Amino acid sequence: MSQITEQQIKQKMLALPDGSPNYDEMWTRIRLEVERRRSGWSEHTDVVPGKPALSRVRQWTLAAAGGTAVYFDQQTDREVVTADPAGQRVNVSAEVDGVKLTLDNAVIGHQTMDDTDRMALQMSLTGLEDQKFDYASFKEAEIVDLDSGKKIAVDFGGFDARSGVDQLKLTEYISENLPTSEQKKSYRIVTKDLYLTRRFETPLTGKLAAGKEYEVIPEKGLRIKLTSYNVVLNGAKLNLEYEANQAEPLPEDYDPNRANYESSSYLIAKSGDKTLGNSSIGWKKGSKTQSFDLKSLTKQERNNLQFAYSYAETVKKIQGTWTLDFTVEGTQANTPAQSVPIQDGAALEERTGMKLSEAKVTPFEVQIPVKRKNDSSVLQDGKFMYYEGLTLQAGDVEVPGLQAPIPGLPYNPLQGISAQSETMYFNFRDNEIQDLSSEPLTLKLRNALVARVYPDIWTNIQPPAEKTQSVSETMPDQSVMVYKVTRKGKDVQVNTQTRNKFYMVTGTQLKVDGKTYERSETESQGKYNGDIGYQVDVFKNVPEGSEFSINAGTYGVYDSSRDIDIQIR
Amino acid sequence: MNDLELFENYKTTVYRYCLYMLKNKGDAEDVCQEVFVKAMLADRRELRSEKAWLLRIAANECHGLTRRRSRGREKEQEAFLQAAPLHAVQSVESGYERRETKSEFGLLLKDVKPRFREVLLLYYMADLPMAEVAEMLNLPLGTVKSRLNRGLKSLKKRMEEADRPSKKGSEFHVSNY
Repeated sequence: MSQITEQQIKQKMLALPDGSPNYDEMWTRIRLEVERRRSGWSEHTDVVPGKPALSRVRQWTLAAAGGTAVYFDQQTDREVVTADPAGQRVNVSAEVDGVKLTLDNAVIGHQTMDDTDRMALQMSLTGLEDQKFDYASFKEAEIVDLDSGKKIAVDFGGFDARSGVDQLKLTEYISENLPTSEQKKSYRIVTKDLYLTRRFETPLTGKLAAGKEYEVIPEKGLRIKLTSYNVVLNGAKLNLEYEANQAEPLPEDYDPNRANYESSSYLIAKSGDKTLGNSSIGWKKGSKTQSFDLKSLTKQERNNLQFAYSYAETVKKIQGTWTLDFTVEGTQANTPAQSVPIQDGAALEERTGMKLSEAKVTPFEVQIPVKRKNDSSVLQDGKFMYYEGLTLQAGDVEVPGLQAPIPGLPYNPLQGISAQSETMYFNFRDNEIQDLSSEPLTLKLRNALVARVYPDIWTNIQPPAEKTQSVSETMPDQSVMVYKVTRKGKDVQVNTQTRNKFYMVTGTQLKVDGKTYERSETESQGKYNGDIGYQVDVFKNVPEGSEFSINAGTYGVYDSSRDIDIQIR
Repeated sequence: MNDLELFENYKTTVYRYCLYMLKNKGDAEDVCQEVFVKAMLADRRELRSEKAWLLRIAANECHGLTRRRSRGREKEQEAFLQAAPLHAVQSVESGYERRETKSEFGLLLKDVKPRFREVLLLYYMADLPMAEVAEMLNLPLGTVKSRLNRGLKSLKKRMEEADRPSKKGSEFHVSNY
C-alpha cells in the first residue's frame, strides 16, 4: 500500500520549479505583440504605399469566448480633420529649447464601447520643423489633478512625424477625476525629456535563403541569420524567421513597459517602388518570425523582391521639463450625446429588411441601432446577413465600422462588451475627434452578404484517403464550391476555397453511408481572407465507408446590387 | 488589475502549467506569451476568476499546440521542436538528494499521461476548485474526479518506483514518507 499521501503530492505540486525563465524578456515580448495586434495588423494586409500608421489606442479589439481573440482590421491611413474641434479650446503651451508643447482642446464624452466617461486631451508639438525624425516621445509624462493632488494614470504615447513634422498631434485620454458638466477642475501635465527617433534601413544583399547570414549594422557588428525562408500558398505568402547575433538596436528611451512595434527591429520587403507591409510578426525567444502577403504582386515582382533590415535609433534628445497648467470647465468640455433620427431608411429596409433607429452621436463615436423584419437566428436561403463594408462619412472623416450581433452568425465579435441588441458602431480616434453637432453624416454600406442554404445538395466524393482529392460542385446560385478532402488518421479534413467569394457560416457537413457528421468546432477554422482564403473543416473519428458526400452548409455570397448610401444628416 | 499586475500575479502559475504540459521550455514560453497577449487584448471586466480564465486560455493553447504538433501541420516550427527538452535543475547533489529534488518530482510528473497531468496541475498546482477544473476543461465533474484519482495513482506509482533502488542500495536514510 502506498505511503505517499495526497497532501505530500499537493505540496510537491505547489513547489514545482519553473526553471527560472526570463520573465522580464517575456513581458517585453508580450507588450510588443499586444502593441502589434492593437495597431491593427492582420493576416490580410496588402501592399501599402508608405509605412503603417502608428496607433497606441485600442480599437475594438475584442475577445470572443474560449480564449480566442478576434481582431478587426483597422483603417490605418485616416484623413486629416478640418472640422471644428470638439469640447473646450484650452490653448496652453510650454516651451523648452524652442520646442513648444500645446494642449489645444479637452473633450469629455461617454464611450459606450468601454462604458466609460473619458476626457480626450488633444495636444500638438511645434519647433521641430528643421529636424529629421519619425517619432517624438517624452521619456516621462504625468497628469495631476491639482484639486486633489492625485496623479492620474496615463500612458503617454508618441507624436508621429511620418506624415510631416508640421502636423505633430497627440491625443491622450483620462477616465478618472473628470469634472461633471457643472464643475471646473484644474490639472497639470508634466512631460520630461523629448526623444526624437528615426527608423533606418539596411539592404540585405543577395538572394535571401535559409541558413545565410547578413551583416546589417557593420559598425555595431550586428548580423542576422535567416533560419527559415518559406514561400507557401502557391507563392502568395512568405514566412521567414531570423536570429540576431546580439541584442537588436533600440531607441535610447526604450521602456519595456511602453514598448511599441515601431521601437523594434524587423525585416521589410520591397519590389520596385512597392513596400510590402508585414502581415504578421511574432516575437519568440531568441528569434523573430515574419510573414509577408505576396498575393498582390505579379510573378515578376515576386521574383524581384528585395529585403532590408529596419531598426529605430534615437537621433536627438531635448532635455527639459514642459509643464502645462490648465482648467477644464465641464460646461464647455462635456459634449452631450445627440440623437439624430434617420429619415432616409426606406430604401435600405426594402433591400435588406433592416430598419435603422435614431443615431446616437458623441465626439467619440456614432451608434446606430438596427431592427430587422426577420431577426430569427435561422438563416434561410436568400436572407440578408450584413454588409461587409460599413463606413460613416462624418464631416471630412471616413470611419470604418462594424455591426453586431448579427442574428444567425455563430459568433458575436462584441461579446462581453455592451452589445445587447444589434447595432452599427463607428468610433473616432485621436485627431478624428471633432465637433459633429453640425457636420453632415452619411452611412455608406457596401458588399452585402446574402445567405445561401442548400441542404439537399450533396456532392459525392471518393472515400477519403491520405492523398487529397479535389471535387467541385456548381451550386444553384452558380457559386462553384471546390472541396479538397484528405483523411488524416481517424479524421477527415475538408478544405473549401472561399477566396473573395464566400463567407462560410456553418461550415461543411460530411455524410458517410447515410450518417451525417458535423465538423469539430474547436479544430475547424477559416484561414486568411481575400484571394487565398479557405475554410478548413475537421471531422473527427470518421469511419471507413463506401459512400461519402459533402454539403456546403450555410454560406454567404456578396451582392453588390444592395450597396447603398444613407444620408443621416 | 492592470496588465502588468495580471502578468506579475499569474505568470508563474501559467508558465508552470504550460511547462509541465508541453515539457519544453521554448514552447512553454511561447504559449505563456500568447496567453497573456490574448488576456491583455480581451475585456476582463466581467471575469470572476482571472486565474481560472488565464489557465483556460493556457489549456486551449496547449491543446492546440499539441494537436498541431501531432499532425505535423506546422512545418515552419520544426526547428523549434528540436529545442532543448525540459531539463532537471542542474545539481551536483548525491543520487538520493537529487532524486528528492523538486525537479525530480517534475520529471516524474511529466511522464503521467497528459489528460491526468492536466487535472493534477490545475487542481493541485494552480489550486483551482474541482468544479472549476471541470468547467474549464468542459468535462463532467465525475470525469475530473476519476482523472484526478488515476493521475494520483500513476504519480504515486512512479514516485515509489523512483524511490525503490535507493531503498535497496543507498547508505542514506531513505524515506520521508
